[in-house]
Amino acid sequence: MPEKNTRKSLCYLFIILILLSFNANAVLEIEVEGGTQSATPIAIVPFSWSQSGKAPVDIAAVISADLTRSGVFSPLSFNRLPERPAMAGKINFPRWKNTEAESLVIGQVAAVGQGRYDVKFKMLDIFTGRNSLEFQYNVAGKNLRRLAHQISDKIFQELTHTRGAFDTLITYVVVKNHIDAKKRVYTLAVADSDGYAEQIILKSRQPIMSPAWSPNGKRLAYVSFEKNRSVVYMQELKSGKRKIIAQFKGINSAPAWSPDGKRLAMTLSKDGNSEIYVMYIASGVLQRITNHYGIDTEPAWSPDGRSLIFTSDRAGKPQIYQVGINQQGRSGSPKRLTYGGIYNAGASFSPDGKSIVLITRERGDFRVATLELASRHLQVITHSKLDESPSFSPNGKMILYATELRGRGILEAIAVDGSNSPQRLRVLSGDVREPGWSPYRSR
Amino acid sequence: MFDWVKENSTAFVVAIIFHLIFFGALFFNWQFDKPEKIVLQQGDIIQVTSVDANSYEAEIKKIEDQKQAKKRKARALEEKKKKKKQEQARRKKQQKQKAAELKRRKAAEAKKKKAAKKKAAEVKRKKAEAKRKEEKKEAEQEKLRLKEQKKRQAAEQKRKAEADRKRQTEIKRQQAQEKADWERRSKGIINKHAALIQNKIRANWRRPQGDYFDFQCRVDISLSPNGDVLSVKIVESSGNIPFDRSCETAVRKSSPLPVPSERALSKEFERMRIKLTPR
Repeated sequence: MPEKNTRKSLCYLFIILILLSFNANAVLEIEVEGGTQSATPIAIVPFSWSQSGKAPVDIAAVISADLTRSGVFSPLSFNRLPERPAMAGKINFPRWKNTEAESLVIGQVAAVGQGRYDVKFKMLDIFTGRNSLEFQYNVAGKNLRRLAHQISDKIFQELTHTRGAFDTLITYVVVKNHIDAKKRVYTLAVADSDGYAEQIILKSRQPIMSPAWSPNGKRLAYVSFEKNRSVVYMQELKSGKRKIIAQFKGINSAPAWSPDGKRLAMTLSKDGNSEIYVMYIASGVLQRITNHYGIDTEPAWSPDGRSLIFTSDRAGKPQIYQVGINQQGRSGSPKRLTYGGIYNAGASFSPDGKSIVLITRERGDFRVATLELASRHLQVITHSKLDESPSFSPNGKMILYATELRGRGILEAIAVDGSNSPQRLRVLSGDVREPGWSPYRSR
Repeated sequence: MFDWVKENSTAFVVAIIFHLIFFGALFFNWQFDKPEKIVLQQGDIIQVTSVDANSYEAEIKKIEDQKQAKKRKARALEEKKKKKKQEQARRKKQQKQKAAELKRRKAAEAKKKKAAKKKAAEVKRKKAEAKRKEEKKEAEQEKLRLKEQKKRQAAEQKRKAEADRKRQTEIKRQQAQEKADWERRSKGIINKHAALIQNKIRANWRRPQGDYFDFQCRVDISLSPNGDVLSVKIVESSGNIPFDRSCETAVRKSSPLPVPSERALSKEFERMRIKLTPR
């Protein structure tokens, strides 16, 4: 009798197993195709402030502007936030689920005396409630803005798995009173990546041109006409110490640092025509790279330091060429990279070396475009009329360039795929030209 | 028994003959063992009579007599000795004969005994043989019986297994039938809700910016009976964390998912796999 029962129960077990396996196979699979590609909605709650009145820096506003400018995020505007919690325990998640936001950033700022501040922040996933980031800092008041950029970098890194480039610098030339030639003043400036915290590096009555970052971000090379002729200088940012690099007969222009920081590519016309040269900075040894009756200028290094791209009109119209570089100078002959259009100039490499950014002429307008080197696919990413001097952010996600608005030069940044609208950088006044994005900053 | 005798007649006759010999031997043996009567011959004893001493004559006579008597006596003694010697020789011969006879008899007896022993051994062997044969037969019968029993049991088991199988097949068939019916009934509803879920997730799916055209991600989700998303697990990653996260978020954002209100059908949606791809 017990044996019979065992058999019976085994039989049932068998049936149950059959049903289970049947169920496992029958799990519904739904395929979702499509979705929309858009900037990631994120909520950044203004950080609470320990004192009455306003905090010295609105950190949330800085972060929000950074993320917006990247084109990768679309922060909720502050007036659309359903609540303003400063601590995780006070978050009412269902209310946030009704917003577009997927992540929520909250924080606190407290003055702790002697000009120092405690800053805490946290990022949470609205749909899981999980804590994805949590940090706290103690900083001096003058570093609060930089801290905000660093927090932006952390958020960017966490959500895109790409290093953020907000805590970086930009350099540019500002021409003040540019209408009146007699009162015109040129300044070379350095600012945070959002255009704030501007510092003047050099002031001159004569033109300043082509500032270029050294690979370690500690020096700039530029062209100054302060001696009434073009001279290439190198200047240390911290000390302001300057050094003349090139003051040859004729044109000395367009300096570009090699990735190892030991050489400087330049355009010189000391031998009669505008050609590309490479100079060893320490020794002053000069190597001629191009030799053509056409104009060769605007050299830029590939990230591996083994080639230069430059603009040349040797084929009649300005186009981009590439030439190999080794210890002895040139290796091989220049190869043309751009064929589309009648004007392609001012190129520079993306940090991964896979594409270049340049100015292309499209229906009479000068616009920023990227050229993917493998496919030779040229993508125009701006719609403005007179863009110039494009350069990649050090993470390769954004492009900084100058353009013209009502006769005045301004700076704009745009996502590398052109997915967002151009973001204008804050510039106080004047005509802004020739921006350059710094490398990553050492912490 | 009789059958056995018939079957082993030679052995039986031999056995009887041996029995007879044996008993006969026993009988004769008893006769031999009986002691033989022996007649012993004794020497004659001489009687002396005393005579009156008055007469010389008498005396001489007496002495003469005595002499005569002595002579007679010596002769008698001589005779007696001779006889005794003869008797001894005869007895010796007789004894010798007797010993020979005894020896002969003993040999015969030993022979008989040996034969009897042999016969007994033979009988014993026969008996053992018979017994062994009997046992063998019994064992074979037992074996046969067990085999039969096993055969019966196997048949029974087979019958039972067959019945079980039939029952299970029937259960399966019924289940399949029920399932088919149920599927027909509910297919429409399920399809409708699958489409609703698909639409809701698609509408909520915001992909990160970048070239993700060929990417795809599979998530396993579990739902409460009313469609609340309880868990989302990425089971096939696109290899890109932001893309995967956008898929997970799309599903979580879509909670509660539009599942059928009928419990039996909403059950079908408790565990689902969602594949998301931009294509």
